[in-house]
Amino acid sequence: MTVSAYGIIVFGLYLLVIIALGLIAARQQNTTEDFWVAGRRFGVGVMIMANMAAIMHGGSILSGVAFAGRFGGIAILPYISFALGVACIYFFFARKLRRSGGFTLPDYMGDRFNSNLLRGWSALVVAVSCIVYLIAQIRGMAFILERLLEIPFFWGLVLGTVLFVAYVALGGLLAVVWTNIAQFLFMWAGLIIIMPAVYEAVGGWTAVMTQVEAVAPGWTNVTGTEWSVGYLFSWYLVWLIAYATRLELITKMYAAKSPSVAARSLPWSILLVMVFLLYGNIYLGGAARLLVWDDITSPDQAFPLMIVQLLGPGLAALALTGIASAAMSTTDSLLLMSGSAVAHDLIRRCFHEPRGIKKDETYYLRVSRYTIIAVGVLAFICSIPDLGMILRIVSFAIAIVGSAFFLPLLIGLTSRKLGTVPTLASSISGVVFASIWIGGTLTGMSWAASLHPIIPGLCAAAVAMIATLPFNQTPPDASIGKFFTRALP
Amino acid sequence: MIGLPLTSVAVLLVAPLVVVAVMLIHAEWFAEDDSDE
Repeated sequence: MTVSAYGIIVFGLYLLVIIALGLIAARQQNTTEDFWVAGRRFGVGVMIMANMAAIMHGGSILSGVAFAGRFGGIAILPYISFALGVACIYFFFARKLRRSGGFTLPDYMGDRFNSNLLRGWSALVVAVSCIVYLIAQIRGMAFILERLLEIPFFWGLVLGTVLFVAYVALGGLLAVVWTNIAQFLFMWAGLIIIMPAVYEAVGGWTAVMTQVEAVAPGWTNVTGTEWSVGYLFSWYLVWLIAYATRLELITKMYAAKSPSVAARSLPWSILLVMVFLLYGNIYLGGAARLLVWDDITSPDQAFPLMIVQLLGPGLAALALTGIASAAMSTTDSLLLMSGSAVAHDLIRRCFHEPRGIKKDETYYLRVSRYTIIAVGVLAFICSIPDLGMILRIVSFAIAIVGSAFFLPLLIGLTSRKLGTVPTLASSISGVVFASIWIGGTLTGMSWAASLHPIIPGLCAAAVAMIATLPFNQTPPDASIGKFFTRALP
Repeated sequence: MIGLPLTSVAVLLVAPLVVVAVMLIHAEWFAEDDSDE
């Protein structure tokens, strides 16, 4: 039997498990609280697995191996940024967000600053950034399905999108968390299966590092084979902001059983992510550089090809299904967020509630399901042209989200005084500058090449916030009290 | 060391582990125990 024959069986079984979980979860969705924050019922263990599965997107392994192989392992893996970014959520955001009883990041922006304008703007940013992020995940999924089922890339895109949309629209966050855990186990199984074959082909950790340094001088250095210290610094800054404003991670904080459970899940999640990537990116990235580098046209093809070359068809199908799991477990969180951004944040909180319009829960669930389908279709259309390596597309979504939300989160949750005007000015300026820079990068403008879009985005956000501080008005106590437990001195 | 230069080991592993250790110690011994409202 070929890889594709095994692929149809293994991937088919995997899908049956995932869709069954989605359907079982769908039967338990009675309220919007069930749908969007899974009834706030998760303990530390479930939170750790759900956090990890949401963080480890398809690009974490597929494009992580591609980037590590291409530029050098140490340069691409910004652990210190991951740790500091998660520390920001741990120390400043997690408890206060969970305590506020919201559902989404736009809820924070609307409630903390007492502004429906900010809520609506944030919902728009979340929906747009989800689409950009989804483009990367759908392309990652298509690269895997291309090898797994031996179908053309385009049909990989179609199949990936249909699967993502179908079970998230059915099941909501409860489905996402259950399937995240199933996907998390598949993902580990996929990576562990290839370990003996890679070890036999290239040896252990030290052997891989020594060999890869010989074929690609500089690979094991801090700056990798071709990065400057300055570019490395901006890459580290990108990921620090990325992890501090990681939508999938911040949204999960609302689903924890209590504020302390939300916070306690974070250090364990990031520790396990670091262990996972040390093997999944650096060791496998080095191995890919040694084994398949001459046979590929895009670095994103390295990992699927290495699997097919090293493993028999049955095991290759299992390993590829595991990696498809990683792509799926992030994508479903993103789709769900885009649904809640439109149904809950825009329509319910910005339009219906202020006008006294009453709709039942099923109405909002229906709107969020239609939104999920629309966002999926839009992301599918945008994923057809080749926009470059997956991790690069992911970093564009991060630039938009980081520029919009990092300063409002950090300053809004550490100071009671920050009000609507500086926050809105900062968020809009950040997104506008980051988007201009992304446009410049994609169209090959020379001025855009030297800096990652998040740097101009963040600088613009900071300047706009400072410039509009004279117009600042502290929000009323009723808004701030949800986030700060102690009274004003 | 383990096939990596010393500076790489420090940047890649030691510094981030220190940050994670601070969070873990804080979570287990210093954080207020705020049960659900």
